[in-house]
Amino acid sequence: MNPSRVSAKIFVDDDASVNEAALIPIFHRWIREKVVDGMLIDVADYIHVPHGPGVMLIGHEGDYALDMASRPGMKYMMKRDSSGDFATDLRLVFTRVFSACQRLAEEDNMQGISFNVCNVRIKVHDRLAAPNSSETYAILSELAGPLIREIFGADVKVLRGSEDPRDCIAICIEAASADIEQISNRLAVPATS
Amino acid sequence: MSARTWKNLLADQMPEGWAHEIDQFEAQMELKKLGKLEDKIFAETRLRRGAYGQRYDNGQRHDGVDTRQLAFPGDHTKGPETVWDAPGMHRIKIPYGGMSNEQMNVLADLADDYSDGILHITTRQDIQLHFVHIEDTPDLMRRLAAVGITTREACGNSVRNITGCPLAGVCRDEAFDISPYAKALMHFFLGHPDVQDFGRKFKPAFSGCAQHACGLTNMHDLGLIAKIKDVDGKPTRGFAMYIGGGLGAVPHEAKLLFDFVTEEELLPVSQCVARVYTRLGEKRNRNRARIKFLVAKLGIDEYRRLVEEERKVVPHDDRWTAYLKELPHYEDSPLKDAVQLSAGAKPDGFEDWVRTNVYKQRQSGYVVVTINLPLGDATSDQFRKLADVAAEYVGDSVRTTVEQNLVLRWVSEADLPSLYLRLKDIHLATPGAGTIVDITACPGTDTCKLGIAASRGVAGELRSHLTAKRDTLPDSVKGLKIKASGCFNSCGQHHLSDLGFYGNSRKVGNYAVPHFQVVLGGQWEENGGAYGMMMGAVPSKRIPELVDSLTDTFVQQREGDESFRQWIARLGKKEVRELLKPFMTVPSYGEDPSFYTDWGDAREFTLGDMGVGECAGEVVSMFSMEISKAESEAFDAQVAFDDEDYAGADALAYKGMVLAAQALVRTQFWDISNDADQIVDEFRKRFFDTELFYDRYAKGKFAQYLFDRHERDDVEVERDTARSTIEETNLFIEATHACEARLTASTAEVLK
Repeated sequence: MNPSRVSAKIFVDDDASVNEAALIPIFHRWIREKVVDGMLIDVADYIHVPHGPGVMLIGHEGDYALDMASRPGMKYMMKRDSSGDFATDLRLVFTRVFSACQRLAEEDNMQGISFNVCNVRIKVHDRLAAPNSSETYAILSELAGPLIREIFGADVKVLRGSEDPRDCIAICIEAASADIEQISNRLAVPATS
Repeated sequence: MSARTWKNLLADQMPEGWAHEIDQFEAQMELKKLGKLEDKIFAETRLRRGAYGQRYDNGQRHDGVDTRQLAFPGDHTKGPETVWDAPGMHRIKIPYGGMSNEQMNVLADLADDYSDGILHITTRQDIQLHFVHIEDTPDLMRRLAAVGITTREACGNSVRNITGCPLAGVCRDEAFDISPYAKALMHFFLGHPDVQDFGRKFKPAFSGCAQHACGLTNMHDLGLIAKIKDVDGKPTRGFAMYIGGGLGAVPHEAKLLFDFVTEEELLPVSQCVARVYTRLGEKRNRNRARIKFLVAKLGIDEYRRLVEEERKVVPHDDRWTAYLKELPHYEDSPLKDAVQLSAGAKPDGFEDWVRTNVYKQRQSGYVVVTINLPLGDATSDQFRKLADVAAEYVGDSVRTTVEQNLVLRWVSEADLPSLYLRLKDIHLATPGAGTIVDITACPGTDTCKLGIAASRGVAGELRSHLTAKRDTLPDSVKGLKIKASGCFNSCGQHHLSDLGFYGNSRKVGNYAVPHFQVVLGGQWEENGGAYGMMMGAVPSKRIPELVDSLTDTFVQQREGDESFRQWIARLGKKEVRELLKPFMTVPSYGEDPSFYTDWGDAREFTLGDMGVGECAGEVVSMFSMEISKAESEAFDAQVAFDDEDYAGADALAYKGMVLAAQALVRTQFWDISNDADQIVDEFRKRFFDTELFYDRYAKGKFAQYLFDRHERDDVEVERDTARSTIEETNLFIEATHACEARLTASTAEVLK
């Protein structure tokens, strides 16, 4: 299975801490100073849409966003240039989203925003390659399982998201404990086998 | 087993013609990448499929400090100065705004799978998806085609979306329901040869009455207002037909062409309007190419005479009246019984919402509910959930509006409280629809290449600013309309509002400062009956305080029931300008640098990001557009040959030859049909027998390839036969190009 669009979202610790308007200058600066990876194009402001995509940093291979759908969280969606291997793509998505969380947490104007890295949602936005079904979930969890355990520990819980066939298929990760530095270090070292 | 692709998966669900057109477009994309299609031709081709350019697609962007190149990976282009890999906008035509629940679900999926998860409703009832990659567009179109939606001619120099009053069929004042007529005209014009060679776009609109705003026929190229007239003692349906309206930099009010066109004559007369425009409209100067300029040049009486003459000679088409047989079966009926709203406790906020968002239908016990979308945006999740709500309460009865909202029709009154709560759950129960807080804005600098100032930025700011004090606003202010455009091209319809704004720029010291030109006193009612007056440019950051000041002064100075528009007219331009003056100043950069950035954009303001707009499409000859389709068939023939489908390859190559011949014939005989026999006969008569097609050395050899293949009986096609047909087709297409070039050159010589 080789889905073309994969995202990961890491929820904030405190929803009330999010200052969306402050993100606009930050994302513009990220483009200028190439703070995060990928070819960055523009900032899209959807603050006016309740529970929408929030403020997005549009890129060529993928988009970053402080996404407000359901609950606020940092999201990275890979939309082009798939490697052809789901686990490899997912590693890249994790790398970018965790890096964005770290960068955002360092921003002075984000009022000490922090992320609950134990709580991650993966979504596959490809209804052709990955329709929302038990079969797809089984395949994706098998493909992603080793990477998820490598990054979040062996005791991580992996659950299926919405089962509505119209929704994109989602995998919810719940780790007992996790630390962003530790995760980033693990992501920096590719698995040997 | 065939591969799992959208093309294979949806093959049985797409109308055959639409599926073929999409395949053809995909082949044209391949030809473009191979360098076999010119930029201009491909740009117009993709525009006519709804694939529009977006800001920064020239590969550069001002980052607030400097203009930098965007490092897109490839070096292909999809139009002049338009990078292949740059994201674009895809415009989806929604005729008269009508959508089924199934269509809404698919639209939501497309926003997830190819865009940024947002569906944007435009001021012409289309839906736009932004940040779409060109490579994704064929599948996007296939998924739409499978549910009966086409993006064909959503952009480019052809007939755009046909808009219509969203209350059609349920309005208390309409003459009759215009929906089936709008649908019939849409299908009739779609891909019609008579609408392929315009110098600019052509926008039709239908309204059920003359007095309300919903159809905005006064600002359209072709405006149709439903009327019932007594003919020989019998009430007869028809339309008042207007032409030549338009906004843009030079707004024109539409002129009455015919007071009454019967339903039988609606399609042929509209066709004749298009034929006159095709024949006499400006082609070279795009700034003078809309039909409004032709109407102004000829005068409405002369245009009418030309249409009447054309009507006598236009070849008959059975489709003109075929749709009338379906009219008695056209039904837009309720899902649920009409039940009056009961007394008793209602949810919080319900009464306020009902006051502004609910309209009583003429059918007793039913209402229309308006969903007030912020800046016309909804998420894919909201669209999907709204489709569920619609399925439960009204069936397939959702429409988009020109105020960038959605309406649910045929709501049983008794359902209002529970529907309100359902909408509230998905954040779609915002009150204030159609009031001063419900602001319309085009995309502006957010995504449009022509945007000068942030129309969405200022509209979003005004929306928040006015919503915060909505409860304290007097009724005379609550009912005002605000509309904003990013530039003078008027996509935000600023001319038709009480308070209109369009983006411009002023130099202050060494800096550019975003401004909005203030346009006051436009008329929304009577189908956009009159346009506002330009009063002066105000810095973008002062617009909210200007709105406060103007509305306060209006309340203080208002005489009796005077409307805002009447008040502006009474004051006159000189006095109104005095009201603006205190807001026209700009503090120095040192005093307040925020004036030097735009709303919602932290970068220092610049005009450097503006690009070449694609609203006008590319001026490409009809021959170029048609021959590119022939080339696409030849390309597909080669693909089929490579797949060892020799019979398919032979058939496609032959089709390419016929299309090439048709393209050439049409340069002399506009009404050439799609019948291969007629095409070949006309080609022989006009180009072969006259030796116009003859090459200096090869003489008529290449034409003979067409004649031979056309006359060939069905035989089992083997590899060599298919290969020969493909080679001959390519030679024939080249010879067709050469012939057209010779004829064009000799015509130019004669004209010297």
